Amino acid sequence: MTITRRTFLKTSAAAGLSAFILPRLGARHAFAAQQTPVLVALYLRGGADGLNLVVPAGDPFYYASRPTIAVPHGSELVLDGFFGLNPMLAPLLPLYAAGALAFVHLAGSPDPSRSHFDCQDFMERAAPGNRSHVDGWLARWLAGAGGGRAIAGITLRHTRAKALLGSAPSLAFPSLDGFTLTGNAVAERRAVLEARYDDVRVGTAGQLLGDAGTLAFDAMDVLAGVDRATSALYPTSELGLALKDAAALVKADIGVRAIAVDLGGWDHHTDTLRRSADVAPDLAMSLAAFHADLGAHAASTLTLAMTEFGRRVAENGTDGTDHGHGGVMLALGGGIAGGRVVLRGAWPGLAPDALFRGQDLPVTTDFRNVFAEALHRHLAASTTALASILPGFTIDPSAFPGLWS
Amino acid sequence: MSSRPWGALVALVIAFPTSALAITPPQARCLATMERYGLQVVTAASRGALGCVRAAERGGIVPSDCFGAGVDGRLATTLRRLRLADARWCSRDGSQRPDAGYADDATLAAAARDAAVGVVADVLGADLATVPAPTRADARCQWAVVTGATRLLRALWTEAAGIAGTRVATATRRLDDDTRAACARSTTPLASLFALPCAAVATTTDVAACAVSVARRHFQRGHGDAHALAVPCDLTDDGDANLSCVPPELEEHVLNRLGYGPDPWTLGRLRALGVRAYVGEQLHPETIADDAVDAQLAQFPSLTMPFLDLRVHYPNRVVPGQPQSGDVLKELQRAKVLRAIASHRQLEHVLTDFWFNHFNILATDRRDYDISPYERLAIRPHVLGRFRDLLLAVIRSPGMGDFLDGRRNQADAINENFSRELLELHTIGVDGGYTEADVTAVAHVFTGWKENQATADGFEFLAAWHDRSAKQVLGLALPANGGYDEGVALIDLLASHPSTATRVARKLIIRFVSENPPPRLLTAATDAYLATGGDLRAVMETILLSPEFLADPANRRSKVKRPLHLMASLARATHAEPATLNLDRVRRRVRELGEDLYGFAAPPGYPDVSGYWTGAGSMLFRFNFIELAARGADGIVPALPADVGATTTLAGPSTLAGTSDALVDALIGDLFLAPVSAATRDTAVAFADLFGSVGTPGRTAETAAVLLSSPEFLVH
Repeated sequence: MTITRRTFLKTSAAAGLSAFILPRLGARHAFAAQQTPVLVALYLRGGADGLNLVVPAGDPFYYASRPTIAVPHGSELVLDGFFGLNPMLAPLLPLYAAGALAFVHLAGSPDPSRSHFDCQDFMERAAPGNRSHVDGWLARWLAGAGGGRAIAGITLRHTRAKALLGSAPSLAFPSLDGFTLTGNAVAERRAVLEARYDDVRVGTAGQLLGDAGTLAFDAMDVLAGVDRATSALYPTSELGLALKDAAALVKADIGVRAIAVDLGGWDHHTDTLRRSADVAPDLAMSLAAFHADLGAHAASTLTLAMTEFGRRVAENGTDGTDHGHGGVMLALGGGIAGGRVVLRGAWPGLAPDALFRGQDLPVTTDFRNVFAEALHRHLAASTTALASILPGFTIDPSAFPGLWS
Repeated sequence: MSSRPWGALVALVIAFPTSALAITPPQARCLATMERYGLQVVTAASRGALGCVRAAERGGIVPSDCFGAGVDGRLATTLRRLRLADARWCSRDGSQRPDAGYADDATLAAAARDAAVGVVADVLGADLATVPAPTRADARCQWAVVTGATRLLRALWTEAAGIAGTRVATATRRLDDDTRAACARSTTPLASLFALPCAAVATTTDVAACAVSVARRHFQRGHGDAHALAVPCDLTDDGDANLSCVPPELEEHVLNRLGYGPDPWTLGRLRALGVRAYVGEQLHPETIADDAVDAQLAQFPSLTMPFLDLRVHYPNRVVPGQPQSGDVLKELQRAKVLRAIASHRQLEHVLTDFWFNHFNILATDRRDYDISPYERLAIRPHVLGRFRDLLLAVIRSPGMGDFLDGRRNQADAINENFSRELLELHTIGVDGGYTEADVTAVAHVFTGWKENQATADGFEFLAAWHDRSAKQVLGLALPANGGYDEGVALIDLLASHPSTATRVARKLIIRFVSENPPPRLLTAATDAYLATGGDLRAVMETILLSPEFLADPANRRSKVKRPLHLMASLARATHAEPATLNLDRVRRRVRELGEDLYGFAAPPGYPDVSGYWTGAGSMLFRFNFIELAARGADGIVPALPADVGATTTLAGPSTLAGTSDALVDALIGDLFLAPVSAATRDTAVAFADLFGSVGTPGRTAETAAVLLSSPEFLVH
C-alpha cells in the first residue's frame, strides 16, 4: 500500500518520532492534514535595527560606520560565513541550526517614508505609500478564508492590530485569563447582558459596543475551553505571556488562523547597547519557548517577525541610530527550509554609494513578497486571492524569498 | 393671497433636520392650506381677544367669559371654513394627509386660538386685571404693546407658512418703536401696567423685549402644537434658542464631554448658570474653587516639588517605609484619578489629559522625576492659553527633552528624534509640507536646548552645544549665531502655521464633538485659532458653543468612554466619597482596561477613536470591573440606595420599593440624567427578577451593575 503522510503518522509508534522527522522532511506540507496552518504576525515596533541583529561580520564598513555601537567583532554568533547573530539573540541559534528559523535581510518597504506611524500602517495594510486602503492584510485574507468566524483572527492586545482590522470580524484581548465574566451572579448577568448587546442602537457608538459585546459572548465559551497548561518556560514579559497564550490557542485547534502580537521598544535613537538588551533577549527567549511549546504544531505554525523600517547605517551622536530603510525580517516554523540568511542578490556592501540615499540599507526584498509567499505556500491562498490581499502589487513567485526551498 | 406650499415644507424641514421627509404634492397642498387657515384662526382669535381688552376698558365684562365663549363666537365662521378646507384638502382620501406636520383640524384650531389668546393674556393678565389703566396715556401704552405683540405673533405664523405679509423683522421693530413712543408718556410704573412674565419690567426696553419673547414663545408652542411638531423646550421656554431650558439629554452631553460625567456639584452649577455660562465658567478654571480636592492632593507632596527637591525627597533607593523615586509617578497617577472623580475644574482636567496625550511622554524609571513637573509646568498652565506658549514650555521641559532625546542634541552629535516628532506629531503633520532636510535643520536649530534641574522649569540653553551656522528651515532663513532665539522663531512659525491650526482643531473636535469632524465646525475652529494667534480658549469656546456640539443629537452618545472616563463617571454617578476611594486600585483597573496612565509608549499618545477602545476582551473587562465597583469591592465605594431605605441621589432623596420595576426605575433615576432605552430598562428588570426576591442581599448593587453595564453608560 502506498504510504501516505497520514498513514505514516498514524502508524508511527512514537509521537516523538514524527516530531523528529517532520522538520527534517522540511519542504512542503510538513504538517499533518488535520492541523490547520496558522500565521503569527509579530510586529517589532519602532524600527528594529536589522544591521545589529543579523550582523554582516564580513563587511568592514559595518565596523567603520558604527565605531561605538557595532556588535564587537568576534562576539557575534556564526550564522554562515558572512553573517553573524547578535549574541543577545543566542536562544534563537538552536532553532536556526535545526532549520526552523530563517532571516531575510535587506527586507522592507519600497516607500521612502521614515515616519513610524505611516510605515507601520503601510506595512500592516500591505499598501506602501497608499493611504486609501484602511483594512489590514490579514483581515483581507480572513475575509476570504476565515469562514467569517471572529475566532479566526486574534490580536493579543487590548485593541485590534491594524493588520486585522477590516470587514472580517476578529477578536482582541490581552490575555486568555481575563476573557471571561467574573464576580457575582455571573450566569444571570451573562444571560441579560448577552441579550442586551445583541442589538444596540444607542447613539452612533452603540453599534461598536454591540458588535464587540456579541463577539465577546460568542467567543467566551470557546476560549474558556482552551487548555493553558504548558511545560515550556516563557519569560514573564508581555511578549512571553502573549506567545504563551498564542501557543495555547494554536494547540487547542479551535479554528484560529491568524494571531497578531507586538513587541515595542525598538526605536533606538540613543544607547543602542542598553536598549537592545531590553528587547532582543526577550524576543529570542520568547520565540524559542513558543517554538518548543508548539511541539507538533510547530510545522503548521509560521511566525513572521517584521518591523516598519531598519535603521541608518552610521551611528549618530548619541550612541544610537536614526530611522532608516532596509532591515531584517524573521521566519520561524511553518516547515520552512531554515538555517539561512535569505538575501536577494549579493550583499551590496555598506559604502555610501551602495546605500539608499547614501545613508540607509537598500531594500532588495519587498516585504509583500514575504507576505505573498507565506500566504501562498503556508496558508494556501490562490494567486487570485493574493492579488486582492496585496493590492497594486505584481505577484511574481520568482521574487519570493524562497523560504521553503 | 399667494401661498407657497414650500413654506410649510421649510418649516417641517427646520423642525426635523435629520429626517428625510418624503412629501407628495397632495400632502404639500394639505399642509399649505392648513397653514393658511391656521393663520386665519390666529387673526380672528387675536381680534377677538383684543376686543375683550377694549371691552374691559369700558368695564362690565368677565374676562374669562370673553376670552372663552366670546372669542369662540368670533371664530365660528373661520372654524367652519377650516373644517371644510380639511375635508377637501386633507381628509378626502388617505393620500392627502402627511405623516408628520398636521394632525387634524380641531387640534390646529385649538392651538392657533390658544396662541392668540395667550399672547394677550400674558401681556395684560388672564383676568385683565391691569385694565383699565389709570390714565389715557397708560392705556395707549398698553394698547401699543398688546397690539404689537399680537402683530408679531401673526408675522411669525405668516412667515412659517411661507405666505406674503408683514415680516417678522418689521413687526419686531414696530413693537419696539411703538412701545417706546407710546409708553414714554406713561407716568405709572410700567410693571403695574402689565402682567408680563419676565423678571425685569421696569423700562420700555424691558417691556418691549418681554413682549417679543411672549409672542415668540406662544408662536413656538402654538405653531408646534398645531402642526404636531416636536419643538424643543428651549424654544417654548421663552421663544428663543438660548438654552433657557436645557433638556436632560443636553445636560448629560455637556457634563460628559466637558468632564467625566455628572455629579451633584457640576449638575447643580449647570442648572444654576445655564449651558453658556457653565461653559464660560469651565473655560476659566482659575475662577473655580476646588478646596476639597486641593486638600486631598496635599497628601501627594511630589506634585508641587521642584526638580531637585524631588530627587532629595524621593531618592532612587529602596528603603522600606520611605518615599522613593517610583512614588513620584504613583502620586501623579493617583492625583489624576482623584481629579477626574472629584475636581470641580472638570474641563481643565480633560484638557490636561488631552494635551498631555498630544505631547505624550512615557514615564520610565529614569524619567519618573520629570513627568510630574512636566504636567504641572509645561502642560496644565497652558491648556487654555496660547498654543505657542504650550509648545515652548513642552520643548523646554526635561520630560520631553529626555523622552525624545532633545536634551542630548548638540552641534556635533545631532539627534533627530525630537525634531521629527515635533513636525510630524506636534505641529504641522506629515502633510504639512516638510522635507527630510527640514527634519535635520530643525534638529540643528534646537541644539543646545538641554536640561538643568536647578532652574525653575528645568531648562537651560547651552551655547557651546548650539550649532551657530545659518540655517534654512521651512522657508525660514535663520542667520548665523541665532542662538536660543532661533528656536523661538521656529516655534512661532510652527505655532502659527495653518496646518498646525487645522490639526489642533481637528483633534479637539474629535475629542469633544465627533470622531468625524463636521466640516463647518472644523473651518470655524481653525479660523478661530488663526484669528486669535492660537488662543486655545477661543478655539474651545468656538467648539463648545457650536450648534454641532450643543444642538446636533447625532453627536450625543457618539463616543465610547475611555477607561478613566468610565471608572470616573461610575464613581461620580454613584456619589462615591472621594475620601473613600482607593485611588491606586482604580488606576490599576483603568490600566487593565487598556489606559495605562502616563504609560503609553509612543509619542502620539492614545488614539481618540472609539474603535480603539472597543475590543471583545475589553467588553468583558468592563462588565467585570463595573460589577466589582458597584458592590464597593474595588476601590470605589458607591453610595447606592440600600436595599431598604433612602439616600440622597443626583435628583434628590429617593426611597426604594420592592418590585423589580420599582427598583430599576429608582436606580435609573439615580444613575442616569437622560432617558435610557426600553431595552436597557427591561434588561435590568429581567436581571432583578432572575437575581432574587426583594431583600436578597446584593440585589441593589448587582442590578445597578447591570444598568451601569448598559450601552447608555458605556458611551458618552
